Amino acid sequence: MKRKLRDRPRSLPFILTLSTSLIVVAVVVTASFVQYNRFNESLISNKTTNSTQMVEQVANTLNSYMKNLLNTSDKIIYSLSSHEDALYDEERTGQIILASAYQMNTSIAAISIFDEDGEILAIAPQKPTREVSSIIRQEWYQNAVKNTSSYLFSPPHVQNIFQGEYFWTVTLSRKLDVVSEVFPEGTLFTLDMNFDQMDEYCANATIGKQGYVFIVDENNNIIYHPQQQVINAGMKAEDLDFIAGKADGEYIHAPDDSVLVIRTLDDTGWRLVGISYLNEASEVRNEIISYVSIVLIASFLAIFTISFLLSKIVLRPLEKLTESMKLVRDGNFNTMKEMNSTYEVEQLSISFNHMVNRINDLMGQVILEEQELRKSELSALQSQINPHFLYNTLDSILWMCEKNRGPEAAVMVSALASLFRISISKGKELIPIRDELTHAESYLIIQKIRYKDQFTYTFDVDESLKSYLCPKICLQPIIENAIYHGIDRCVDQGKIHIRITEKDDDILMQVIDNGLGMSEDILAGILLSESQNDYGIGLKNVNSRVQIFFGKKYGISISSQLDEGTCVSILIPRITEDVTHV
Amino acid sequence: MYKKKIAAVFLFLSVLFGVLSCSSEPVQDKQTIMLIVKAEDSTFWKTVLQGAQAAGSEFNAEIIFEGSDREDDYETQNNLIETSIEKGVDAVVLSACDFDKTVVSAEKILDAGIPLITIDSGINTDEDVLFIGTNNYAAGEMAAQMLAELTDGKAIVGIVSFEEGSGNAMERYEGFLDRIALYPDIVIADTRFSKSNIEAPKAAALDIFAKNPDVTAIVAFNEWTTLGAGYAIAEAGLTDNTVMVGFDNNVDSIVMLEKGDIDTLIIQNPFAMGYLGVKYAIDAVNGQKIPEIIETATVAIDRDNMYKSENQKLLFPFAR
Repeated sequence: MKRKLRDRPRSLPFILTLSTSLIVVAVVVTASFVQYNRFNESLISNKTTNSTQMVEQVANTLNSYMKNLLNTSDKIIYSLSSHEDALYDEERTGQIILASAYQMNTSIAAISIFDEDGEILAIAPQKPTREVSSIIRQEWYQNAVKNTSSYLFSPPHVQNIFQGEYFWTVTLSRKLDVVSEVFPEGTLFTLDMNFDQMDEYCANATIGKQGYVFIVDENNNIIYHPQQQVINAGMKAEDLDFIAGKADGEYIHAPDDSVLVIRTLDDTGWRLVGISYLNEASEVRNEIISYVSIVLIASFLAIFTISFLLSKIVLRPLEKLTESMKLVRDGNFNTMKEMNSTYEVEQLSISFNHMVNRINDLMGQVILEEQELRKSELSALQSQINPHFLYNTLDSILWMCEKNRGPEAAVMVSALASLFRISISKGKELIPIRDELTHAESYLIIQKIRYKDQFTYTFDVDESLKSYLCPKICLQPIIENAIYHGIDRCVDQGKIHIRITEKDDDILMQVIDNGLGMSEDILAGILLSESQNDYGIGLKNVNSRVQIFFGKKYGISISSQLDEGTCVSILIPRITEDVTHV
Repeated sequence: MYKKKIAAVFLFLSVLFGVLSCSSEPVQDKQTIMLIVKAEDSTFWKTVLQGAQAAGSEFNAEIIFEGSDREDDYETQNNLIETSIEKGVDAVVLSACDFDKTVVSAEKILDAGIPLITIDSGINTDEDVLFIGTNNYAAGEMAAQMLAELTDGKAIVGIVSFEEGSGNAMERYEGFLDRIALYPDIVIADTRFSKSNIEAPKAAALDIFAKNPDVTAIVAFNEWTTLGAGYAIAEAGLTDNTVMVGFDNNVDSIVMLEKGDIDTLIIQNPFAMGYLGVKYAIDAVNGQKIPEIIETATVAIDRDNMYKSENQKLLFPFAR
């Protein structure tokens, strides 16, 4: 059951860092977004408010300025019609009135009075004037003559009334209904205003860094613009179509991201337009965005560092603990160093060590108990053999005594005594090979007498190996098998050969017979623990004991051929001391 | 041990913050643009300066205005051009006195890495230099067209042109000749090149009248020659008998236009030249891509249409 890579559980530091990062980012982004929107709204409304205030302020100034100019005109016209106290003739009086008004007001470029045919009746300042024909064909003049209502304001035009002089002006004109000899009905009053005052009021009215105001008339002609010549030269244009027909108010002009504030001026019908640019606000916006991103990056760094430290302080010990647990899983029951980290981790490590120790203790106990159990089982098996064999032997001795075969009975009794002496061996589990051979020979003597010389036996023993130790009664069960299963059923005389040789550093004990032998499938199952074969019990017993004492490397191996014989080999190490009782 | 680490981290973060907060952009300085024209005293150049100043105040640049005394004084102008390097100006807007002789100095400032914009009169260079000005060949053609219309395609013409070294003069001259050649009944009786002052072209025109009494039309190719030729017509009493086509909007030229000495004026847009010159100079300084050539418009204005609203705007610069 393999896991896919992405399903692999994430480590705690990763989860911790990721979750805190996400939370902080979410909080910062949300907060910034909300803040940004509120700021943005307030910025636009601020901009509009500022713009409106500025436009209204300029509008007030211009209104009073124009009112003043109209008052001046009214006064002039009134003076012209009521000069009972005049010292001079009417024409001269008119000239004086115009001259004084011109001198009083710096925003007046010229004041003049025309008759119906365009002849100049009076003019200030008094400079040589142009011929009638060149004046009356001017558009402003023709419009002024057509006008029947009160005051009329012309669009900006070039005034050529004086010889060799051209100046831009806005002409205020009014048909007079003053009836007198010099100023008959149809007389035209004109006042040319310069742009000085207007410029002063408007040019300084900057809104933000780039904002400005300009004035248009009812027909959407630009009356005043701070960049008048730039517009005249065709380098710039205002979106006059956008303004056309718009009522007073505030408008967002999308194409250049600006706010337009429109206010109609009194008397003139002119409209003052204030333009302020929102992209200035967007500069501030960008500043905020960059500031927020700095904060975001900084908090990211902070989170990463803090998470790193956290993993150092809290998670590193946990990782160690995890590693130790892995070792335990792999069967290595070692305790770990106690960790003095946080309280929880410390408790965890203490508990872990306690658990590992407890497991170690329990396991040692189990092994010990198991060994004891096996030993007692084996002793029981050993002693199980004896009564049966003893009964048969004693029966044979009895039979010999009855037949008066005393010497033979004596040999048998002596062999039996030797057999039991070695069997007891003061309770030792390991005995010298010499004793084991004696034991085996005693057994063979007894069996040979009982089997009436059905077999012969020989020993081939390396003398130098005789003093090494081997498990007690390891040859006898094998010899017993050889006799019962190999030779007993054999017609020919049996031969049993016992050989002790060295093999490498170990000792090889072999019992070879020329009996019936075994088939391969019997041979294969003979040493398996489940085997119920009766002649297997002895072999298994010996094998188990050898392996318990010396390990899995040692034990019994059997080679056999049907009708040829069997060779049972016991491999044991060379030892001179009984280690099992140390 | 951990406390030390935490302290180190906080130190690191505070330093980071410090660095980030210090790195806010510096306030952009006012740029200095040097405007070098051929001469300082004509209406044309004054209007160019107005345009330059309008752009300067709009785009936050300071304008240094320089010009030689005479329009053919390329040596003085070359010196002026080269001083721009010492003055450390950000860009130069130049109207070259001479199509060829100004090139060396102009290329010096290009080599010094100072952006150069030419207006009105360009230079003979392979470098990418923006030219802003009248299509002079077309303006010459326009003058020819006007003259042909005024004379119903039948005239004996005297030409009063200006400095032969000036690219403008030659282009207008060629445009005029090429166009006038379409009219078989118009012949060129005399051609004079004179200096840019009033006396020289006036004398030249009077000389044309003296040597060719049957001349019926005069054409002049810039402000000075227009003034000189106009005065000559008035002085010779030929106002009603001679058709004159001139250039530019000197106030005296306009007065003569109204009087009838002059019949048509080809009006260029010097304000636009100054304005656009500075505008693109600033763009160049800021590393923006700028075009190679920008043609400013010309209009032909006569007595009848001179007070039309759109013509007024070009004929009479709005001055404060």
